[in-house]
Amino acid sequence: MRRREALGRIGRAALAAGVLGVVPARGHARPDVCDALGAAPIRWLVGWSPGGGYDTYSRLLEPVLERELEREVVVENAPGAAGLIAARRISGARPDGHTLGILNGTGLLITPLSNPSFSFDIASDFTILARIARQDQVLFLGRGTGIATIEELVERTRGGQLVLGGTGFGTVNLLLAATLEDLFGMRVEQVLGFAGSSEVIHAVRQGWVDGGVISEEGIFRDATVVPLLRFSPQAAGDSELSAIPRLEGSAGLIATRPELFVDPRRARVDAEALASVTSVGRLLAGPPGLPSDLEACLIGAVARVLGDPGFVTAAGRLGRGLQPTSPEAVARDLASAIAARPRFEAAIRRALTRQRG
Amino acid sequence: MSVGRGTGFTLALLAVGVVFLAQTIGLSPTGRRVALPAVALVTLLLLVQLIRDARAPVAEGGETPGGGAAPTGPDDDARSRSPWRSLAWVLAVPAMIAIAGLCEGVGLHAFAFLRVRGKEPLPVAALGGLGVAALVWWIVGTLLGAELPGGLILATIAGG
Amino acid sequence: MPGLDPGSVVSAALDGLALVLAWPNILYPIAGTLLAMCVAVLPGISGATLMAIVIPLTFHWDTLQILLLFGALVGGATFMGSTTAILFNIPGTGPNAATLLDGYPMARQGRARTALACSALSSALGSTVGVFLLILLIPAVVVLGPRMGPPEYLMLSLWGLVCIVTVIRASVVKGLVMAGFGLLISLVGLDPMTAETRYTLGTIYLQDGVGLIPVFVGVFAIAEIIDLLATGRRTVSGETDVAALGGTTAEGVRAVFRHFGVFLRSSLIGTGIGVVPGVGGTVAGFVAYGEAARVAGKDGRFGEGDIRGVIAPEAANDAKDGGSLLPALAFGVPASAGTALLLVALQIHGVTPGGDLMTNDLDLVFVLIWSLFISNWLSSLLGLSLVGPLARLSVVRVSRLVPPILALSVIGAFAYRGRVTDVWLAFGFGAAGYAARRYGWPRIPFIIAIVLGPLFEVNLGLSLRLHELGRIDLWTRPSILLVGVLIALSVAVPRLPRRRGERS
Repeated sequence: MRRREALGRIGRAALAAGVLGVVPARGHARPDVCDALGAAPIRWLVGWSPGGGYDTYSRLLEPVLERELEREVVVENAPGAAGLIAARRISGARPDGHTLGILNGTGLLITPLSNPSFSFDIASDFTILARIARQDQVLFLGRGTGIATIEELVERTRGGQLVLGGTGFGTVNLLLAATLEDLFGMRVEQVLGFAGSSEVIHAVRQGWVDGGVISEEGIFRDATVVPLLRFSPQAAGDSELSAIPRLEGSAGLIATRPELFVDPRRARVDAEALASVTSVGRLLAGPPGLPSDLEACLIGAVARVLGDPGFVTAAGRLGRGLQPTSPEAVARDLASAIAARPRFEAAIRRALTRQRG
Repeated sequence: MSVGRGTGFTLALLAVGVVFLAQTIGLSPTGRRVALPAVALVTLLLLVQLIRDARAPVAEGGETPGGGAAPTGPDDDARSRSPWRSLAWVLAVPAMIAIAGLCEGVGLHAFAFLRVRGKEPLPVAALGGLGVAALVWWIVGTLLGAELPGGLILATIAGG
Repeated sequence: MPGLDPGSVVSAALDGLALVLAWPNILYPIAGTLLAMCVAVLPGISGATLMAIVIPLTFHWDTLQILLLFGALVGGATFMGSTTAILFNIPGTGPNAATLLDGYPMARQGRARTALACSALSSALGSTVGVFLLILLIPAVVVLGPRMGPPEYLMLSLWGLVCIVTVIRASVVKGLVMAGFGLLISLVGLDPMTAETRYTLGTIYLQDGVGLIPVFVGVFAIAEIIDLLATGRRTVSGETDVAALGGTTAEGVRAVFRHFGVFLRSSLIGTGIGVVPGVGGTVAGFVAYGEAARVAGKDGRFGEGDIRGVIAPEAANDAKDGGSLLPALAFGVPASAGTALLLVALQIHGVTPGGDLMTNDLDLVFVLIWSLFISNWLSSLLGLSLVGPLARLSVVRVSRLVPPILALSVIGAFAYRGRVTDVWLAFGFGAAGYAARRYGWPRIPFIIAIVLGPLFEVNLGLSLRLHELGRIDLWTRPSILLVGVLIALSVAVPRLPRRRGERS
């Protein structure tokens, strides 16, 4: 593959240089586009550093949202405390539609279990505009373990131990790993502190840990790891994942292979609760108290952006799944997730006690 | 530059060390694995230093970033300025930011500094203040696209 | 990962070089370098920020163009970041921080030209060593690199921490106290292993830890401004006329060759740290600095304008750059935000890091490495030509210099995470840093401990846990023994009689 025909594109480097200049001001918005929204730019907050999933979604959204709202959209990375810093800024912003952003809904829901100082009431602390994607949570093992299916895993580790790597507490994968113990009767030892999911996968390849639970779909194109089980109720639009068994649902593992579980009846409830918590997913939101006309206009604009063919294609090329969901549906999911959350308090407490020594 | 023993600073460090120690005790065994030896060593050595300070004569000479003696420039201003006044000038920056906002606070401070401390003519000081404020606005507001924090004044106006 | 034979590596390296040098491809590294140099001189805007801005513009580019541009964006930023470190004690980014420890004292002594020239040449030569070692060692690195894990990181951080002891000159007690405080401050925040909040004083702000850049800016730049004002010094260099400045570009260039041992050792350290997945440039700079100070022993004036303190971090930083691309591309483990963004840019084009890239498209990997290499040289050569004008800043009146330096400090602290609280923190550390300086509490052990503390603690935890679970055996890993011997030597060698040579 030779790619020498570069000259035609060199002008884009000059364009990049142009970024250093002042961003040209835009004209006033057309009166029929979101009347209630002022002409000022919209600040789009991302609670993570450039390069991650949330940042990528945001940077893909930016140009389409700009076109849709006829306002400049400025993506601002405000990393820290697993997205909580940016979440606070969104929640505390003036309800004028000029501060919006992306949230890890599932994370906001789970973090208080291990860290009570982070507590949001997602339903009342934000105005949810849409869900952009659910995070498919998948248990995976290294190919070196010689285990290729969930059945084999249960057979070989029941009464024994499974070593899973993870990035740290406050993350959803901790909850899922802790719950595996109750579901399958195996002892799950967690090795926490890896810098990121790529470090966990690296440790799996090296055989330092058996596997992990992660949400990034792209990794399953990697032949060195084997995905075994999905916790989320539906795949993230990635056909590669659809062959992997799910935990709950009519075709789920509990329905089809109840004998794998220590207590199938309890497992069913646990699995539903897990699916409900993990399905909250990645949310697009603004501060609470947006005027109703502005809220309606923003929800409409965001919905059009999420359906835009150019946006959908770009997200697909990056392996970023999309499950656009209306705010009403998200509200229903949130209600059931909040009701399900207390079920995991004991598992989290047990894992914390073990980890703290 | 003649300096004192800095016993006050050693005591301040000891106070910080004690705060760390008090918070370390409440941590789990895993959480304090590195912290406890570190804080214990720090506190112990600070006590040793205090004893040394009490016994040793007052030290002379400034320090380099590395802790050794700093070479003194041949044309250093003979009038040694008060460290407190210098500290006040520098700490006025966050104070101005808190009052007037990031961009405005830095600009106002630059203006005041150039005019009062630098004894620059009014137009030069004004231009300097504007230039510095523009630099902050350009880098933070334009290049990074970050929201420029407003100060108390703005908050009061917006709130009222 | 399948093995690579040295012949195919050399051939891929030559193919890659031909691609980079082909017209008009060469324009990309040049444009990227100029862009990165313009931006790197501004505090708070790192190469990563620039990449995040550029990525959306590259959606329609092809892979080759991305590699050509991004290699240059990684490489062009390093030298210019060192200029603010040397001239004003402001580290543009973390990896430049170690350079200020001796670079700025040199500027204060009127030797800014020497320091700047030395920094430029050390960077360029360091990157050369890094790239050529990489070509020679890729077959071995591809096999051995990924086996480096938490125990090796632990030993690496331990090595750096041990070197602190040798950096301390004034008072061992004070030095150890400052290192201890550095370690404690590095632990502030949410413990990733236990979810405990440590030393956060009940605030949400501190749960995310104390930011490195605000601390650097405070302890060095702001503390220095207070000192400049308090001592009534007229200019940074103490001179008011450029003609009176000591030090020349030629002296800086010669210094690199006079201390070639320091240069080579630091480049090797940089390359070595680079190929270990997941360790950033800041660590490389500080470990090389510590090692140079250790070897110099009593001969060194580290922290007081020892030119070896400029050579070591600059050579290590740039030698590391080439090496660090390898783990990112071969194993998908980025060492910095910059390489993480590079992976994003490549994935947009369907290029997935891993074995296929290393075996089938090794020439593309080399396109990136060569682009970075060219950019390192280009920025250094341009930097050398700028030494004169830049050094003039050290004769500008302090009363005129203070407002822009304070503004750059505020920007650097704020831009780090976009939080005004980081600005308060920087000024708090500035006041403390000034007091530390005034009363002879060394700041270098403090800073090294802050940088290495998290690497040490997390990898101690991971290593012990993996050992306890029987997943690794700490006592039989050759790399542990090797670094263990290095640490033992670090402690023992300064006590042995030294042969003559390498004096600053």
